[in-house]
Amino acid sequence: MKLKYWVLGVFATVIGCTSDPPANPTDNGRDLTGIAYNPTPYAIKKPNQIYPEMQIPADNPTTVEGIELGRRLFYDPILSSDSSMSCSSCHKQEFAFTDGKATSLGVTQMFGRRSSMSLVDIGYMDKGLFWDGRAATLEEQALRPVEDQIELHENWTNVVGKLRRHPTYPDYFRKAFGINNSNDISKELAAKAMAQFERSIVSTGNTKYDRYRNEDLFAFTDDEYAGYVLYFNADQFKPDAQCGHCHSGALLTDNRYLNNGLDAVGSLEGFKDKGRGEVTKVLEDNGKFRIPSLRNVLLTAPYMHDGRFQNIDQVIDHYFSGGHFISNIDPLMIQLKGQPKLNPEERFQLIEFLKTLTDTALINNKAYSNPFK
Amino acid sequence: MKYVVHQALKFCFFFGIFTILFSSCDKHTETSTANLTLTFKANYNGQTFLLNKDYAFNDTLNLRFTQVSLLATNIKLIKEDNSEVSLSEAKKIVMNNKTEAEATAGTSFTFENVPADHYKAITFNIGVAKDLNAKIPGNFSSDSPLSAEDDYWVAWKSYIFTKTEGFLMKNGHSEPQSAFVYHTGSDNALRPKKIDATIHLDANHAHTINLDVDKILNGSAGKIDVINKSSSHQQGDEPVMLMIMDNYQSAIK
Repeated sequence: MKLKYWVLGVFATVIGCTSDPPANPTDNGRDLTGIAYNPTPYAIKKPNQIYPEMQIPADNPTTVEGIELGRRLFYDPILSSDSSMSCSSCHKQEFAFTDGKATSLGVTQMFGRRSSMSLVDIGYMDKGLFWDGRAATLEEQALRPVEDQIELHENWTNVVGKLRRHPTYPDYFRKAFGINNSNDISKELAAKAMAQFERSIVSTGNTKYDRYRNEDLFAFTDDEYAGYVLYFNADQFKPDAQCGHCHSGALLTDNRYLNNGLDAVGSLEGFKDKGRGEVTKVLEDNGKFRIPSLRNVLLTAPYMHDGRFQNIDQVIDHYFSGGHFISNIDPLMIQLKGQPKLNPEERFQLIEFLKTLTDTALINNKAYSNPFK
Repeated sequence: MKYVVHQALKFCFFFGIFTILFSSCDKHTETSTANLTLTFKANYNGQTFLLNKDYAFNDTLNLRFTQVSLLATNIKLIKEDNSEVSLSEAKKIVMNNKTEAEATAGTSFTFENVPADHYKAITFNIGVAKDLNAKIPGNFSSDSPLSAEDDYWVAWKSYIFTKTEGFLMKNGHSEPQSAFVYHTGSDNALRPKKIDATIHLDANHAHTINLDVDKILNGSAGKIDVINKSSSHQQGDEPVMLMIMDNYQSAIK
């Protein structure tokens, strides 16, 4: 008889996991103290000498166990309301952790208003996350998509309940964070784990661009080098494609927020998507968006915050058009408007250079892949 | 009894010594350092300077600045005996004059625990000296201004020392005739700056340094041809770049 109830109990727990009821407040949880807590520190490797040191928050040091847990959460649809989507649905490794769509489709079959951003080197982005910088840290960012109605459309109370009742997640949380009881699982710990995994997604530092920047003067073909010159305006007798003013350095972004003249508006109040201005409430910030990294740029189409450009040629056309003037447009856009356009050979060379930013080893690195496959 | 009195006297003696020692230490700590706040304020020919406001360039064109910033490095105080006290390796000075209030406030840096003394000058470099300029942002921790990628220009292998950006607006037109984007850098462009200032740092002290934005494009080295030479991004732009650096040097007081 006892065995019968025990089997029924186990069955009910399994059913409970799949139907995702909220956590039972009278549940005493599962004791985890029998599981060893001995996390292994994980040092984020600097890809090469042109990279800065990544700043790791003191209250969330990276560990092998934390990254492993974060990776599982990242790929697990348990975070969504109907168990159909995970973080990886919009951040696919083969697209340098974007999704190849103009804007992303959420669990309610509604499209979001902005394009999925790459997570490569995300741990280095220290001036705000998302296109508008509304999250200051990865720990804060990781909390948002779960409760966004046009993303995972779940709430954290439910997610935490599912994780507490799950047959294996409490063990992973114990190993990563030393919790004593499954009821100690919290959304903050889940976010910390996902932040650790995201910080671990760093470039290999071995693209052709990296090799050239690290003094391998023969890294480029002639066309790639010619494109590099255009990109960084390195030769006064060649046109200035003006890319390198904003997409610069190791990260190929300077992480600022700019208006690049995408929308024709009569006033700064007129932007349909106010971008950075939504966060700061400063009128001058309306229509500004975070400058994305151009690492792996040929894998991350469509382009811009709303994915309006399907390919790189459209992007180049936009920049050389100078965009639509409004008082907070970046002056470089106006300079581009007055410049001669790139000829077909120069355009080809510029794109050849952009190809050197593709990090093939990263997108094939098993450490970042789906652990459930 | 004699022993007790002896022990009491001994205690009083050592207590007294300790009291004198500790109180003199405290006094020493209290008076030996102070905080110095340096505030950089931008004006336009003596008037309040605002970003995104039009200033006459000639009879038909106006300058509308959108960015004015500089890297100040090796910031020091000079004592009356000419010895030096280092304040900072580098500071990024951004003239964030979007509103009257911001223009009035300026951009401030407080240097704590500066040795209390009498100083006669403040010195710094406008730009980055050769040894530091040979490095790259990746060499600096994220709390250093020299770690910022937007202040490093890969093609020059140099930090960007100053940024002066904006639009050339035609009278009565809402759209600009053109834009100007002057970035300066490279070892030749470094300009030292010395500002005479009487600073008696007996207590916390504040000092203001002024930048006349009008003089950046029309200063001691001459007037920049904003119409025909509207940018400096390349080594080939060195003549205009050096003019702008000379202008910055004389525009700061």
